[in-house]
Amino acid sequence: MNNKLNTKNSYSIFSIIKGGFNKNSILDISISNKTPKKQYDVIVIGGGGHGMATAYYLAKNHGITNIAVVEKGLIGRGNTGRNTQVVRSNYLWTESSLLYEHSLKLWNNLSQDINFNVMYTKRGVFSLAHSYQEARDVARRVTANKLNGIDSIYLTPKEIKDYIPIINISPKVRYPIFGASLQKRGGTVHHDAVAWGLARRLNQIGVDILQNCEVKNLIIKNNIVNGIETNKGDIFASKIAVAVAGSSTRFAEMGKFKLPIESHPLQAWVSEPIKPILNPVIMSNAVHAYVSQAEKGELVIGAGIDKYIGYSQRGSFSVIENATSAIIELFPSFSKVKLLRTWAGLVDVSPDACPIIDLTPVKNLYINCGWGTGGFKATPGSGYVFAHTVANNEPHVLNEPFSFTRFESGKLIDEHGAAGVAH
Amino acid sequence: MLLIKCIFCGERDETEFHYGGELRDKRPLNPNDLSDKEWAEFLYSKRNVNGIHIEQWFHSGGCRQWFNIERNTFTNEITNTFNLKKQKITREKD
Amino acid sequence: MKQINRINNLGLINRSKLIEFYFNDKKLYAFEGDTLASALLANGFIFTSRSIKYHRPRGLFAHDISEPNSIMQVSIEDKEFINVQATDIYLYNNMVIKSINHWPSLDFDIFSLKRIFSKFFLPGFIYKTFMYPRLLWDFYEKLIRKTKGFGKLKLEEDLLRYEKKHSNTDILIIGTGPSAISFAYSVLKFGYKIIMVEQDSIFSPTMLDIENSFTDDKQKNEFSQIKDYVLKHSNTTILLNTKLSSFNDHNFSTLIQNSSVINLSESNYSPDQILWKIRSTKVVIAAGAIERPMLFENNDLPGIMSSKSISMYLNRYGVIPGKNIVLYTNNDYSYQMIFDLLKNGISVSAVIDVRKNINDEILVKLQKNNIKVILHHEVIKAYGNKFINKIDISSIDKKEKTTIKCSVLAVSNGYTPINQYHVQSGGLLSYKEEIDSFVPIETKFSPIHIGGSAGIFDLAESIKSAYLKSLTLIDKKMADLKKTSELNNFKNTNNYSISKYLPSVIYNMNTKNIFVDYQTDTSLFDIKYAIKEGFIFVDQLRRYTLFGTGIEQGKHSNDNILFLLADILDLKPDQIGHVKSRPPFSSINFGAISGRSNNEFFDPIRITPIHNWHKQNNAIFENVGQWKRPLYYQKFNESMEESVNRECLAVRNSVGVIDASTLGKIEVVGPDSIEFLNMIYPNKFTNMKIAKCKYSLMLNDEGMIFDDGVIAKLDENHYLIHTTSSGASTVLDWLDQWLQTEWDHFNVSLRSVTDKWTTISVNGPKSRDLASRLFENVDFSNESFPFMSYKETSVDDIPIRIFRVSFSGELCFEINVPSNYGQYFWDKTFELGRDLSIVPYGTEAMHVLRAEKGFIIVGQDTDGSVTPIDIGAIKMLSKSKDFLGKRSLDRPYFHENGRKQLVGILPDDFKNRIYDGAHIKNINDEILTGDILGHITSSYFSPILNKSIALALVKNGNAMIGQKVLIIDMNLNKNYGTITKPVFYDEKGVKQQ
Repeated sequence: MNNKLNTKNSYSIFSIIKGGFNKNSILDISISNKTPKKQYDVIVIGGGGHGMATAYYLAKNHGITNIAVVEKGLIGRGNTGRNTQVVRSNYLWTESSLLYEHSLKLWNNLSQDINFNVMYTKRGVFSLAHSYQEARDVARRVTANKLNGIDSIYLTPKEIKDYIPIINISPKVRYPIFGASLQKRGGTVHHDAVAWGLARRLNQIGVDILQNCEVKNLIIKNNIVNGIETNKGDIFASKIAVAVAGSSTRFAEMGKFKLPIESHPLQAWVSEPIKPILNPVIMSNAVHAYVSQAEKGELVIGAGIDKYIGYSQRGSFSVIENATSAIIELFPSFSKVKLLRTWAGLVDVSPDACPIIDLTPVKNLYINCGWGTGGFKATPGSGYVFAHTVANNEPHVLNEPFSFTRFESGKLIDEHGAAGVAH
Repeated sequence: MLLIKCIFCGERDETEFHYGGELRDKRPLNPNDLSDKEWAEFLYSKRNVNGIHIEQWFHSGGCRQWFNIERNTFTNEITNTFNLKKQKITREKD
Repeated sequence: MKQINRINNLGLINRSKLIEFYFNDKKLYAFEGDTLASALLANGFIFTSRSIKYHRPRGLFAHDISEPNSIMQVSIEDKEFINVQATDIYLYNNMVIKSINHWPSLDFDIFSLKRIFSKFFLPGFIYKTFMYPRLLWDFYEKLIRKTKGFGKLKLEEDLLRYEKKHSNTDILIIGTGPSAISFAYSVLKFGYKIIMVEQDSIFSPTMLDIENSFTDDKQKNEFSQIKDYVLKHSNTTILLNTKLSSFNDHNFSTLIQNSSVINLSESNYSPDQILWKIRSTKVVIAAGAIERPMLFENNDLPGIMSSKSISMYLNRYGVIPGKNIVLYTNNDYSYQMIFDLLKNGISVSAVIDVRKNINDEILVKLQKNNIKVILHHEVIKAYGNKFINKIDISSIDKKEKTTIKCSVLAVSNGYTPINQYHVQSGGLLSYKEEIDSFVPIETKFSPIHIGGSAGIFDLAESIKSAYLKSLTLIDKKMADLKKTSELNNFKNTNNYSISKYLPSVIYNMNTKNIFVDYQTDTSLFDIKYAIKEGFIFVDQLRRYTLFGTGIEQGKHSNDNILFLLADILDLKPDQIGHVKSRPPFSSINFGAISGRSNNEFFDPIRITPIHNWHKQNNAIFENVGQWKRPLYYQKFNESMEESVNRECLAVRNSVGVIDASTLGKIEVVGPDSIEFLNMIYPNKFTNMKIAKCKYSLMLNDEGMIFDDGVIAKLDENHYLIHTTSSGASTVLDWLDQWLQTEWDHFNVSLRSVTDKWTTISVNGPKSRDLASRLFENVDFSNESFPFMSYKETSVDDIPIRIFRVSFSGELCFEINVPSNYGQYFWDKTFELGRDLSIVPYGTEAMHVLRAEKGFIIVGQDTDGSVTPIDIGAIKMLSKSKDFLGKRSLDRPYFHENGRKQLVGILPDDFKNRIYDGAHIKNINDEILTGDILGHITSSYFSPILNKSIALALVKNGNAMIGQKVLIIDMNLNKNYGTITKPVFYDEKGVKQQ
C-alpha cells in the first residue's frame, strides 16, 4: 500500500469531541479546488463515483498518484448524487454477480478504508415475484447466487410478511406477491458520502480533482491519445480513462469509434421525511418500482428508465404515476405520504444491460460505460477493475467478459433478457 | 410529458405513443455480405445524439402509424414531424 | 372560548360559526375559515413546534407554503394527514392537531438537551463518526434513524378519495393577485381561454380591500372594472384551493386541488383531492414572492415572523400575534405591515432598519404616528426562553448598543420571487441588484412571470407591467397599438428600495445559533464550516449541510444562503449559480399521484367470453399478461396437484377442453404476405398450401427467440398467425414496426383479431368424436383433416374456423367461433361431450402436458438468450432466404462448443418434482466447486408417466444425453438425475397425428 494514503487528519468519535472544543483541529478539506498541472500519469475523465474510485484504486493498488480527475460539472452532482442508494450483488449471471459481489465486499470496508462513513447499511434487498413465472425466475436466481457463494434466500409471501409487516400480501390485489428473493447483505450506501469521502481521500493522496473542467477534445496522434483539450487549457497524460455516464458517446466520437449505448433519463422521487417505517429495500420488477426509506426518513422510490433517450435530466410524469401506484399496491398506507422531490439521472444503457469496461480502439484510451441502472452499487468494484485495466493495459479477470468485442461475437451477458431485476 | 404531433391525428399526449428508437440505417438487403463487426455496428451502435435527434414514434394508442420526429434531446423541443418518407409535413411554430 | 389574539370585525372568516378543535389534547376554539396557523395564533400559541435537530422552540414564521416551522400531525374523523404545514390546511370542527418531534410534551422536551451537545454536531457529523468498530454501524444506524423524520405514518388505510382531471386551455395563470388579474384581462380580450388558479379558498385574497389598496381613485375604478371583467368572462375558469405542483416540458402542468380542505360530504362520489393535469399554450406565474428571514443570534425564537405574514394574518383572519411588535427590515415594502396595523388602530413599538435612509413618505407617516425609527442599526441577538421578549440592537458601526423589549419581531430581508417552476423546467436565473433577488431569464420554453414572481413588488407597476407582458403573446403591430391604450393610470410613483444586508457576524467563526434554514436546523456556522471544507459550490454546499432539503424545500432559506456564500467567497451572486430546485413546488399525496389506479384499476383486466363459466366451475385463476386464465378447476376438496393430475389424465385418456381464446391472433393480408412472413419467421412460406398450418418461432434480429405460435394459411395472401397470450400486443407492434419503417414497399396489412374469436381447444383421443358431434357437416377424418391443417365451416351462417394443431401432444382441434357465440359453443361442447367424460382443464395442466412432450414455453424455457439452435429447432432455419435473426445466428459463437441446449431430465427421485430453477453440475462436483452447466426451466410431475420430469438448458446438453448429473436446488439440496432427449411421452408423436 502506498504510504501517502495514511494521513494525519482522521475522523473518529474522539476527533469529533476534540473538534467540539476546537473546531479547526479536525478541519479537513473534502473538496479541493485546484488548477491543472501540465502533465499527469493518468487523467480520469469523469468525477463521478466510478471516476473517483478508479483514481483511488490506481493509487491504492497500483501506486499511481500523479492523477487528475477531470469533472465537467461538480463532484457529487451527477448520477453519484442522484440515485436511490441501493447496493446488492444478487445478479443472475455469474459474470455480473461476481463483479457486483466484488463491489459489495469493497463497500463493506470502504468507510474504514477512506475514513469517511459511507453508511453501508445491510437492510436487506427484497425482489418480489408476482406470477408463477417470476417465482421460477427468482428461484433460479437464488440458486445461481448460492452456487456463486452469494447470500440469497427465497421467501414465501408469509415469510416476506414476517420481515415486512406493513407489506400487502393479499391474494386479492391485481398482481399478488408470489414470493421474493432476499439478499441480507444488500442494502443502501449513502450516495453523497461516497462523493465527499472519495474526494477527500483523493485530496489527501494528492490527486487533483478539477471541477468545472470540460473536456473539449481528446488529443490523439497516430491513434494514440496523450492528452485532452479543456476549457482550462490542454492537459497531457500517458493514459486516459473515461468514466462519463451520459457523455460516453461523445468521447467515442472523439476517438472515432462507435458505442452501443443510449442515454436515458432514470427517475426517482422521495417523500417527505417520516419516522422509520420500512427498513429493507423492496424491488418489484413486474410493476417496475422499488422503494426504501432513506436514513433521513424519506421514502425513496424509483422506476424503470424513461423510454426515449434524453439529456434533459427530466422525465415523464406518467412514469411517476405508474410506479407510485405500484408502490401503493404493495404498501397501501403510503398513499397518505406526500411527494417531496423528483429528479432524473442520466443512464447509459447497453443492449444487454451490462457495462463495457475495456481498452478502446485508441491506444492508451480506456472506457468504462453502459452501467444502465446498476452503476451506483458497482462504484468501488468498477473503480477497482477499471484501475487494473488502465494500470496493466489489460482487463482484470472480473471485467474480461465485459468487453467491446462481445457485441461482435454475440457473447452478451443478458441481464434484462434473463429477467434479472434492473435496479 | 411531451406533446407529440402525430402526422395523422394531431397533437396528443406522449402516453399514447411508443418510442421506436433513433432513425437507423436501412437493414442491409444481404446481411451475409457484412462482416461480424459491420453487422454488430448495424445491430447495436447508436448515434445517441445530445441535440437534434431524428427518431421514430408509433402512435400505438391511436392510428397505429409510425412516423418520425425531430427532437432536441436536451430541451425536448420537437422541431419537426414527418412521415417515414421524410417529407416534411409540418413545421411547428417556435 | 376567548381567542386572545383575535381582533374584531376583520378578515374573511365566518365569525358566526365557532369551531372546536384540539391542539396537543387541549380544547380550543376558532372560526370557520381559519387555517390551523391562524387558529393557533388567535389562541395565543406562538410557540408551536420543536426543531428537528436541536429541538429548539419554534413558532409560525410565514402564512403560506413557505412555512418552515409549524409541521403538524392532523386527524379528523378517520382521515389522517401527516407532515402538514399549519399554514396549509383549514380548520374543521373536532380536528385533532398534534405537534411533533418532542417527548414527553411540546413544553417540556427531554430531547432539547441535545442543544448542549450542539457544538459537536459539525456539518457532516455522521460522515465523520460511527465508523468504528465496523460491526456496530447497523446498530448505530437504527438509533440515528429514530431521530430523523417528521410525522409518524399510521398504517390504517387512506380514506381519502382521489381523482384526476385532465384539461387544456390557452393560458394557465397561477395566482389571482393584481398582476394576474391584469394579465387575464388583457388575454381575455385577445379571445384566449384562461384557467386561473388560486391556492386560497377565495379569489384574489390580497386584493380583498380594493378601497384601501389604491390611493388613486382612477386606479381604484379601473382595477375594479378589469377585475369584474375577468370574473364575469365566459372564457375564465377559476380553480380555488388549488396549487401548481409542477411545471413540465411542453407546458404540461400538474396541480393539486383541495389538499388543504377536508371533504365533509357523505357522498361516495365526491373526491377529496383532485390532481389536475393541464396542457396549455402558455403558463403564467403570478404567485408572488417569499419574504426572507433576517440573520442574528436566536433568529429562530417563536414570535419572530415575516412582516408579510403579519399583514396576512391580520387582513385575512383578523389575528395579531402579539401586542408589542417591532419591525426589523432592509426594505421599504415591508412598511406595508405597519400601515395595515395602523389602519386597525394597532401601533408598532419600533422599527429597526439597516439602511441609512428610508423612503421620505414612509418616514413622514411614521413620524405622524409617533413610531420610533432606528436607522442604520442591526439586531444582534434575540432573547427569550420559549418566546421572544427582547432584542439587542447595535448601530451598524458597532458604536451604539441598546436593548429593546418586544413580544413580536417582524422581519424582512427582502423577497424571493417564485422562480422554482422556471428552474424545475431547466430555466436559468439572473441576479437583479436593485431588488436583491434572482429573477427568471425567460425563454420560449419557460413560463411567463409577472408581478412579485418577476421581481416587481410595486402594486401599480406590477399591474401595468403584467399588462405589457401579455402583449408579447400577440402580433407586434397590434401590441404596439395596445401598449398605451389601457391601464395608463398605473405607474410606479413610490420608488421603494431594498438594500442588500448581510450581518457582519458572518465573518466571525464563533457565532452561535444563527439559523439560515429553520427546518433543517442549518446554522450560519454550518455553512461557514462547510465552505472551509471546500464546499464552495451551491449545490454541493446544500447537499452537505442539508439546507433546503426539508418539507418546504428551502423556500425561505435558499437565497439567504446564496448571498452568504457569494459574500464569503467575494463573488457576485450571479457568479455562484443558484439552487437547482426540483418538482414538485407544493407537495402532493402519493395517493393523489396514483389517483384511482389501484386494486382492480391498477392494470386493466382482460377476460374471455367464457370467464363466468370458469368462475361457476370453481376455476382458480392466474394472471397471464393482463388476462385472467383458469389455472385449474377445483373439484370437491381437491388439492391443486390432484386437480391438475385429474385434468391431465382426462386429456390423455378421453377429452379435455381448454379456453385458448387468449392466444394472440393476427391476420396478415395482402399480396406480399409471403415475403413478409418469410422475413419475420425462420421457416420458408413460399410453397405453403392453403389450409395448412406451420409452427414457428419468432426471433429478434439478434437471433433470440421471443415468441412462437402457429401460422395458418387461410387463403391466398391471407394468413392467421398465432402468438403467445401475453406477447400478442408486443408482437403486433413489432410487426407493424418492420412493415412500416423497414419494408414499406410490402403490400401487407395486419389486423389483431384476438378478441374477435373464442378458441375452444378440444384435446384428447376422443376429441375427433366430440368435434364431429359439434359440426356434423365437417369431415374430421385424418385423411380429410390431417394434422397441421385447417378447415372452415359455418353453423347458421356463423363462421367457424377449426385448426388441427396440438400443444398437448394429443389429437386436437382448436375451434374458433365468433366471440359473441363463444359461450354458446362452449356450452354445446360440454353438453355433447358429457358421455365422453369431458373435462375442462387449466393452464397448469396445459403446462404439464406440453412439458411431457418437450414443447417449449417462451419465457419459461427460453429467457431472451436462447436461440432456435439451442432448442434443437435448427431444421426450422431456412438456408435459402434471409429472415430476422439469420445473420446473427451465423456468428461463430452460436455454434461453439459450450452453448446451453434444451434437454430433458429424469430425476432419480422420480416421486418428487425438482424445485424450479435448480442448477445442474457434473456428477462429481460439489455445491461450491465445478462449473454450473445449466438450470431447470420446467419441472413437473407427470401423472401419465407417474414420475417427475424436467426440461433444462444444459451446456453441451445434447452430447450428455444418458449421463447422470448433479442437480442442486435453491435450498442447496443435492439431487441426481439423467439427461434425456427433451421429450418424455409419445416420442414419435403418434397420438397427435
